[in-house]
Amino acid sequence: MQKSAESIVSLSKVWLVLESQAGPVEILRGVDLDVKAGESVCISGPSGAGKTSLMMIIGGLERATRGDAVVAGHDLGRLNEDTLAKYRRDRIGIVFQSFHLIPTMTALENAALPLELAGESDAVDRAQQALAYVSLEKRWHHYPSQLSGGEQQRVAIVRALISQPDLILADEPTGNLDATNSVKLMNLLFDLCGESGATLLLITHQIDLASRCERQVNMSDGRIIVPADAPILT
Amino acid sequence: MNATAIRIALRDLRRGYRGFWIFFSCLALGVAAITTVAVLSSSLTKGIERDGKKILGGDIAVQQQFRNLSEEQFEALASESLEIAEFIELSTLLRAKEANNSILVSLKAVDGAYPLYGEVRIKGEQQFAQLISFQEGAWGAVVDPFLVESERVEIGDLVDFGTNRFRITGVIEDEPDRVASSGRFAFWPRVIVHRDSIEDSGLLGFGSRSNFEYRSILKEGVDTVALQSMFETQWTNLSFRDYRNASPDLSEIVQRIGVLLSLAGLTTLLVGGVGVSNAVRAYMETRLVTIAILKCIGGTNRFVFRTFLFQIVLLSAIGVLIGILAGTGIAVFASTAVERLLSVPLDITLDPVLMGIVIAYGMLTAMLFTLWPLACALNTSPATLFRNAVSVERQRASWIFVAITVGIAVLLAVIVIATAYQRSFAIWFVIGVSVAWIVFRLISLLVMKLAKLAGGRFSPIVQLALANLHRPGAATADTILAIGLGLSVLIATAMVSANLNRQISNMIPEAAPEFFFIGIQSDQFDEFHQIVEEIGGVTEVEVMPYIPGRITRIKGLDPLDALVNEDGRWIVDDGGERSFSYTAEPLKDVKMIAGDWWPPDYAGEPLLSIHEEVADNFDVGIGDEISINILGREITGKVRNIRDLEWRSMRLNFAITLSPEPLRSIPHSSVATAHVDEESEFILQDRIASAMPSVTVIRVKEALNRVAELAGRAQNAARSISAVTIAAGILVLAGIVISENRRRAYESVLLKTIGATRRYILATFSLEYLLQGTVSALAATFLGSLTSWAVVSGLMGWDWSFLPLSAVNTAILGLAISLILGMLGIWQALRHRPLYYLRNE
Repeated sequence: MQKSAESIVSLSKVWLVLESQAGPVEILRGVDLDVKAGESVCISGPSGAGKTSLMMIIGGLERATRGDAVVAGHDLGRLNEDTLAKYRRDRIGIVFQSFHLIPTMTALENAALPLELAGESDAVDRAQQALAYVSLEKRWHHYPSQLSGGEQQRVAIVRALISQPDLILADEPTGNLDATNSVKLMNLLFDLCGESGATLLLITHQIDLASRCERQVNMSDGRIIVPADAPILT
Repeated sequence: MNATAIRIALRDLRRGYRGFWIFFSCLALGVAAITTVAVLSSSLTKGIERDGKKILGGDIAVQQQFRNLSEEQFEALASESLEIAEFIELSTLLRAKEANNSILVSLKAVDGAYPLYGEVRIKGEQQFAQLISFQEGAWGAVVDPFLVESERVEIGDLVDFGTNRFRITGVIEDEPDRVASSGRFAFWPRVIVHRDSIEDSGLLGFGSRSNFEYRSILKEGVDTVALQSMFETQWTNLSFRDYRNASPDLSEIVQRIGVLLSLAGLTTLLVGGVGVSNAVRAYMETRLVTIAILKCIGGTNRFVFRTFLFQIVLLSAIGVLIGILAGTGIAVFASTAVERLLSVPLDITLDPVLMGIVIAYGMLTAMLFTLWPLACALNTSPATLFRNAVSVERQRASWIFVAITVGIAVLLAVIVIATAYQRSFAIWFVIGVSVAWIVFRLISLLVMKLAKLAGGRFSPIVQLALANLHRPGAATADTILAIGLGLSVLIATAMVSANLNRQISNMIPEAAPEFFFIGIQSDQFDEFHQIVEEIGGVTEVEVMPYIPGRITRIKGLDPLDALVNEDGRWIVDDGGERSFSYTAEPLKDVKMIAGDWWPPDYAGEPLLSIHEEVADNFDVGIGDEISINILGREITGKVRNIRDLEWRSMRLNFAITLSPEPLRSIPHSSVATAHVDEESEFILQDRIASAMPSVTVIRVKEALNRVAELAGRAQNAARSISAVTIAAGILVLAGIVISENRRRAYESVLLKTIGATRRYILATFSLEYLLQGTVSALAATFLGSLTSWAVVSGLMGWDWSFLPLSAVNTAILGLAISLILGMLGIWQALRHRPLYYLRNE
């Protein structure tokens, strides 16, 4: 299933300036980015380049100091905190490097959580199916501490995708995994995004992962240094 | 509350309540203290209501001083009664085998019908009636346990009351009507004998200060109100009570003490609140990631708040429930001791209104202390998940939560004041707690500010200790508040106790007489003086006429209408009976405030010398008229002078003393004081008691020992209360130490890694606790002293002195406790192995 090729992310001259005791720090400095629906885009660059901050602005977790950020048809600068939370619930799925599953909930409960927040009555059934799809049907009632890193990340991916979001934000999702699990995990993520038609925005330092994306964006010092429409480097 | 929020909250709690024991303990301890007090005081009040007949000893009680009811009076009572019991109460000397074991007791001489309700229980389940009967040449007497415990007497001892001999046959375990019947004799230990045993003992002779008591079971349908009205109208010298108001004094005392103890319990709850707050802050720190995740995947602020609010409310409810169960358990456990202490049967029931108030106290206090850390945690940004640096330290809650917290505090204060028996006291309590709170918060801010300013000027050890005091997230404010509030209560209690002790020891002025003799008749003067002279060792005897009467009018007004200051109510209250005297010569050792004395040979219209307190409380000046009823005769006199006197000097002094006429011609007794050498004390006591049984002999030392003993009980009660508050303070401190433990362990690991010795680390952390503890102790000394001043001077009406030794001792003790706790925590932290922390970084 392929969604229409309209822009799902449209950033225009986005600045992010944070106040600190030593004075204002410019994290993003006039970023322009356009991502089409269904596209997979890799964001790479050295530490401190502003990759995560850019992802946080797209996820509505941080507000741009200046510029426009329109994602999935929402002008994020105009939304309040609660509307942003609902925006994330309905349109965005996030996968973290450290998995960030709720430690007091089982795999099944973690996976079902976004649907429960949306008030879906079949949340648990759908979470069971999704976990079975990623071969975790025997791990439903295990707590995160009882799961391996790879299993935890699979639960996190299920949680990110279960409410069929338009956009998946993945911040170094394999950073805490070994090479074998990394490959399996990324296969799963790309497959699921491909099946659902979700757009994937991926931060990674691994060249082989970056190469699987349709487009690569390089960042340095708060700016995008390779044009957004440049061909993929291999 | 949203069902999903509840579901998620419960899931989150599923992993157990580990780490919540400080939260539960702090909350439960305070609630348990309040519950215990509430259950006991309400059970007492209910017991008094339910067992009114037993407490009074009948449906109604009629009392007359000094003599039996007349035939006409007795007939009037008998015609309405099914059964009547009679007894006499008086204070008299129990003369033991060893003269120095003789002691003034409250003697109750009962007839065969006594008691009409309930039973006199004797230790060893012996028969009361048999124990007081005449056997083997002596009447039996059962005694207060105090007399046996203090080894004044033993079972089987022969003792004398008046001229008659008695054998001690048993120890009283329960006297059903003790509370209602003892009245002014309650002060002395009780002895019960048969009424017939004292008829010829000389104890009831003319001038004897005895009460003649009658208890009745009324016939069906008798209107007690009408009966009371009839008795009081016809015979004004009789006192009449019915079972519905068996012991008004006791009811009032129970309520007053109940308020005092409830407020002490509430203080415990508030001190514990700091621990609750700290525990919730520590808990919320562990939930920041969960909050961030929930927000990241679409949970709104409101949803997240509801989820965790539900958890806190649930945990608080568990804490309150534990407190209520523990408090009720303690109350049930303590009820036997309270019953024995007060001789009142308790009716243990859980009053729903009272329990509602306790729950409100518990839940509101929990919310007062948890809402802020909860709201702060709520501000956690989901973006922090990307940085792995989730922390509550920099969070500040919105003004709405400030307003809600203030609202809860106000609501709590309103409930405290609205439900208090003594509102003015409750208002002062609320003000006091608020001031203490603000003072300790300001002090902690000041300490943190000074620590910051002082940084960089000292050795590394001091430097690190100071940095720990002001770093973000430091527990300085909570530590100072917990130690400070706990110590303030401890110091206040110690200072009240010390002032009480000082007051008691000051009661004995150096020139105090050794004896008071009350009820010496004119025809006994010669014999009295003869005994005094024979014994020798008596250095000074002072005798003054002693005439009971009642103030009937002041400046032409009813005395209660003339009262301008409530402090003087005692002068005209309680049936109004007071003692008056007359003198021809000016009184010795008095300070004249206004006017002068009448000439020694004055024989004109009555003139009055009044104490300054009478003048002030009734707005009476020179020339104003006061009327006094003495033995039914109304005497009106003009005020001639106003004088001051020191009541505690123990000289014979009366609030109102008249010129000799016409009192001189009215039959009356006298009161005398005697200064006696130590070796002659018991000889004089024994001789007067055996020669003049109707004279009440009061040995001043004995009376003061008794006061000290009763005061000691009150002090023990006060110490128990402060111990509970201190326990709360220690719990709070333990909580802080535990929550700080991980940080300290990590810091000590880092310090060890870079070469710091354990001694160095211990010195750094100890210095931090020492600084916090010293500041808290200093502030607590000030606030505790201020509180003790308010209680001693304001509530009890005594002179207050700052007693530095007891304040400083208590402060040092508190400081030591907090230091030891802190050191234990540090020692624990030092035991952690570096590898564990460094590998997990």
